[in-house]
Amino acid sequence: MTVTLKDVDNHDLWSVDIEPRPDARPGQIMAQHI
Amino acid sequence: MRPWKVIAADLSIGLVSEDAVALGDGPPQRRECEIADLLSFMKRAGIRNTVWLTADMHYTAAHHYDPNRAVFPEFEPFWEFVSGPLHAGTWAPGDLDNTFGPKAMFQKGCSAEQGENLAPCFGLQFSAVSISTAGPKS
Repeated sequence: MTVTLKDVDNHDLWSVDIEPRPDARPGQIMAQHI
Repeated sequence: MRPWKVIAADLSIGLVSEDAVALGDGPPQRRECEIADLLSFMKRAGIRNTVWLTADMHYTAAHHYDPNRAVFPEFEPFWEFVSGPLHAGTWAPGDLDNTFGPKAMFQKGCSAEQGENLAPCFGLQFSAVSISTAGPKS
């Protein structure tokens, strides 16, 4: 998964690729606001 | 399967501020105890791979929390991304509290030369974080 920090003009400031650790329990969407 | 759990919370966990969770170095105290309870519960329950989105520190930052650096080590490592408010004076990056072992991997705010509470017209306004499972340019 890639997470990118942005400014208000939608310019990319910094990104990081993060890998999940093994043996994770599947997540559930508990709440979602759009 | 969704390996990541994204948690939106308004208050930063490791940035020392009266407006945040962190109160200073050392074992959890006062409101830090609530985060300690939650993090230790998630460890016991096998809930891994959490990403926290927090705000209201008037600059942007990426923090990685590692129990090997923490005074309170009963949790799984996690990331925190700080951004926002949308339109407010910009602050300089703050001090990190070693309670939960944060390390700043990136931070951007005003510099000492620019001074604190920089006006929005200087262009240092942060409010967005994008999350992609298909690469940084998708």
